[in-house]
This record gives sequence, structure tokens and C-alpha cells, in this order.
Amino acid sequence: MTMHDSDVRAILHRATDHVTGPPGLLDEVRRGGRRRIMRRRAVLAVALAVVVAAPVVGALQFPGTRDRGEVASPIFGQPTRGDLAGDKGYLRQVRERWLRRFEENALDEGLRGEPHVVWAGRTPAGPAAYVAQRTANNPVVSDPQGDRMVAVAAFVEPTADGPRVMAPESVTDAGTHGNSQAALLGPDRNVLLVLDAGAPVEFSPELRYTADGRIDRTFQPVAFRDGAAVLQVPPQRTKITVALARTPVSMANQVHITNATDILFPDGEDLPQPTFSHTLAGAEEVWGDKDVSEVPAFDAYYDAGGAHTHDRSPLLYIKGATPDGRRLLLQTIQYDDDPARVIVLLARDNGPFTVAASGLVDWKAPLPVQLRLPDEQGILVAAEGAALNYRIGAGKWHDAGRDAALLPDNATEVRVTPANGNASTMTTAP
Amino acid sequence: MRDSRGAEFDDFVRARSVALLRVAYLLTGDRHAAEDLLQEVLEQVYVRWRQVRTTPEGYARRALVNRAANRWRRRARRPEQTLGDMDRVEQDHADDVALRGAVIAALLTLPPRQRAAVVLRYLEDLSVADVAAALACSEGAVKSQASRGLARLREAFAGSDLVMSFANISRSSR
Repeated sequence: MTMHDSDVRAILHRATDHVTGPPGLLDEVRRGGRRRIMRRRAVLAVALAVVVAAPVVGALQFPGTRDRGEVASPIFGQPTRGDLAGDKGYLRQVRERWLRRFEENALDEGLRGEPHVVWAGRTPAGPAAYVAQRTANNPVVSDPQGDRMVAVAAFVEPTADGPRVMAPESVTDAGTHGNSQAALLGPDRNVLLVLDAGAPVEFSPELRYTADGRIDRTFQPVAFRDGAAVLQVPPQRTKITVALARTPVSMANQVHITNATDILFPDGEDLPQPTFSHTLAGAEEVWGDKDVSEVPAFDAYYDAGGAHTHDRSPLLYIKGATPDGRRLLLQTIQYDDDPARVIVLLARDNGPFTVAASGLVDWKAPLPVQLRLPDEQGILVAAEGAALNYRIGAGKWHDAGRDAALLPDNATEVRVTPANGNASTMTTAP
Repeated sequence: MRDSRGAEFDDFVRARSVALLRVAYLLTGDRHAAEDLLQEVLEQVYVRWRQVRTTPEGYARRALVNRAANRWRRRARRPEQTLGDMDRVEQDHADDVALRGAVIAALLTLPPRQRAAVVLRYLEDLSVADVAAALACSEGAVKSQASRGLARLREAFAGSDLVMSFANISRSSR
């Protein structure tokens, strides 16, 4: 018997008839998408094949059209800047290392012309530079925007073996936002080199938190001189505490550090971050199809301009409703190995979310999250995988479900029974 | 702050996620992997919504194919999971489960691009031009990939009485 095309169609349809959409997909996607946006802003992955880099000095444009043509750009059109611009020996050494780098790891796009040292100067870690070279081909590297790769550029750092070309980035004709404009230099990564891209940049050396878990940074203007600024910073060997951003400081204006990813993910692997999300009883009626993808009330807890890992800490996310009909949203935020913070927001009707409670999370505790809500709206508790019970005074125990619950405001004790473990009983937070 | 993606994105996910999940399922051969893959792709769509809002499905399809192929390259270094272990078989009729197993097994013998060409052509009923757009190749390449893939599937199905009898029944009922 011959099998026709229509048979194949019918078989493929029959083989997938059972597949239906997973529950909660839209919420999960929105949450994941939002996380990706935050991560894109927080940590720039500097892989040559995928980076759509931005010009470091001014905008690169093909004259007239977006077809292949000569690249007119200040990156190539200006003489080398920096206090080593006249040091022919160093510049020659940098160009040699650059050419060797691309001989050993040839670019598919090819290179043409000569490498141009955009900036070269002294730093406390040793001499450093920034180099760019045009590519022979200008493939479209961004789909569907159609941006074309026009050049490749990289910082050159000092090492005991002489200049070393750091991760090269492709430069496109598209424009500039979000590309590496800085590098951490020296064995202790305690020298921050920031190139002058023509826009004001502010810098914060240390990340601190307020008592209620908000980000507490002090930014100061970066003073550029002859094409760059060189800043002494605390060692950033395994964790990045510095933040850099164009003004006004915001996530979107973050200035990326070229080796941030190498520092944060030395084995090349991003750390998985398990996500626990729960929707409490009664949430659907209050939430309807309202959107939660961007909530400005969380902004004070996000580190604008900083780059971090999540250190495998879970992300807990709870949607619910309070007894008086307000929307409730809980989220944890953690950077690196710093304490995880938990924030609860409430919103009435279509009004904006405001912070109702916040605290720290101890993921190893039997009950990692316990927050009392204002206006006698209850006590929000969460322990992934655990059965939850509560009681009032010496009364009988009530079932509060699993994973997360909003307990009555007068609950005095909560019992947490993990899936594989003994029950713990604790008094509720005052 | 209002989300610029708004209801349009939600509508897209609600309207198209099942169809895309079915494609992902046949590309990966694993329900859970398909769900993960779809979620990753939809998150990608979410991030790029402003750029892709006019053609989100084409973008999503292309991302699915690319990610499924990359996933396969990574997965080749790890032991395979048995379909039966991962899938939700308990509610399904035994013949359906067996048919599904045979189809997935046959699809998994195809190279990723052939598999994608067959799935997009014959499950999604896409035109050759649309499959070419999804695979980022010429229409001629799609025709040859789909044709080779189909030939190999026919060979594989020929050894399965269950699949052949289903095809027979299916045709006689039309």
C-alpha cells in the first residue's frame, strides 16, 4: 500500500491530538519574558556570534543606504586617543596581538584594512587599549531588524604575557544601546576602564541595601579625559559590585562591562534559577486578565546599572487577593550570594501597586516566607512543596493547602510539613 | 505602568500556543521538552514583541526550529529519555499511544531540518514559501528536505502495521 501525503497529514495530526496547552502558560511566559528583559539589562552576554554590538564612539552608518558600502564612522575616522596614542611600540604590539587573535580564531566574515586603535592609555593595571577593524563582509546579524555587521571591536587588557585581546564584539550599523563600553582590568579586576562614547555616564562602586531591602547606591559622574576614564574600584574577581549607567541612571541605560559575564560565570554556564509560582485561592476573580509584566513598585529593589548572577536561588512568585479585594503580588529578588529579599505589593482595583510588606528570605528555613500584611489582611506564608496548617490560639488546626497561603490575620501558629520531612510549628510574625 | 505588549501578545499566545506546542512536540519527541521549548520561544517573542508583532507566528516558528535543532545537538551528548517515561500516557487509549510512539520514533530518525520541513509542511500545512521562511532556506531546499523526509517516513511507517492500518482507515473514512 502506498502512503499518500494526506495519510502523513492525518497521522501527524492524530499523533498530536492529545497535546493541549499547559495550564498557566501565558502567565509563565510573561513572567519569563519579563525576567529575560531584566537579565538582558543586568548581564550582557558577550559572545561574538550573537552580540549585536554598538559603536563605541558615535554611530556607525552606511552612507545613504543599508547596502554594503564603506563604513563612515568616528571609530575609524579619528586618530588614536589616550596617553599612549604616541607610543608606537605599544600600538604595534597591540596590533600584532589583534592580528594573531584573528589568525587563531578566524572570523567567518573576514577582516579588511588595518586594525585601528581607538584608544590606548595607561591604567594602574598596566597599558590598555580599545581596537576596531572593519569586516570584509557585512552580513545581516539581527533578525528581523536587518542590522548589518560592519566591524569587530574589543578591549585589550594588560597581562603578564603582554596585551591580550578580550572578547571581540561585532559592531553593526544599527546604533548603540547596550553594548560594552567598559572593562575590568588587572588580576584583581579592580581597575575599571570606561570609554567615552559622548554621553554622560555615572558610576557607583558599591551595592548596599536599605533595611527594607531596597537598593541603596550612590552614583557619581564619570570624568572622561582624552577618550576614557580609569577608575580604581574594589576587587571584582567573582562578584560585581560596581554599577555603570548613562544618565539618567536606569536599567535601560546600563553601561555594559565587557568581561562581566566572564567574571560572573567563569565556567561559561549561567546558573539555573528554579521558579516557583503560585496563584492563591480567589486570585482569578480579583485579577481577571490584568497584566503584571511590568510593575514600577519593584524598581526600587532592582539594581539599575549592576550586573549579577542569581546564584541558583529560587524565584518565588505569588499572585493572590486580600480579603478586602485587593490584588496581591509577591516576588523574591536576589543578587549573587546576597540575602534574598521578598516584597509584597497590593493594588486596589485598577490602581498602581504599592509596597505592603517586605523582608528577607531564608531558603533553608522550614518556612522561608512569612509576612504580615497591613490592615489586618492576613499573613502570607510560603514553603515550596510543604503542606501548611494554621490555628488560632489553642483551637483546632486548619488546612491551608500546600506551597503558599494567606492565613487569617489572627492565626497564631503555622505548621509546615515538608514532602519528605518532619513537621515544624512556629508562631506567626507579630 | 502599562505593558506595551498588551492584549495583543496575550491573544497571540492564547490563539497559537497549542498549534506551536504540537510542532514543538513533533520536533522534540518529548512533551515536557516541547513545553519548555515553547515557553522559551514565547518568552523570546515577548522580549522582541515590538519588532515581531506584525509576524509573531513566523518568528516563533523559526525560533522553534532553530532551538529544537540546537537542543538536539546538545542532547546528542546525553542519554535519551524514553518517550513513554515522560509522556502523559495514563489517560490515552493504548492504540493512540502506540501510534504516537511509532510516529515520534520515525520522526526522530530524520535529521532536524528534514524533520522540521515535514512537520511544518504536513502538520502545520504551511506553504513551501512559509516553510522556507521558517527554515531560512530556499523553497527548493524545502522541497528536497520535505521530499526526502517524507520518503524516509514512508519507509519507517511501512514497517508499522499500526500506522499503516490507521492510514488505511483514515483514507477510507474520507
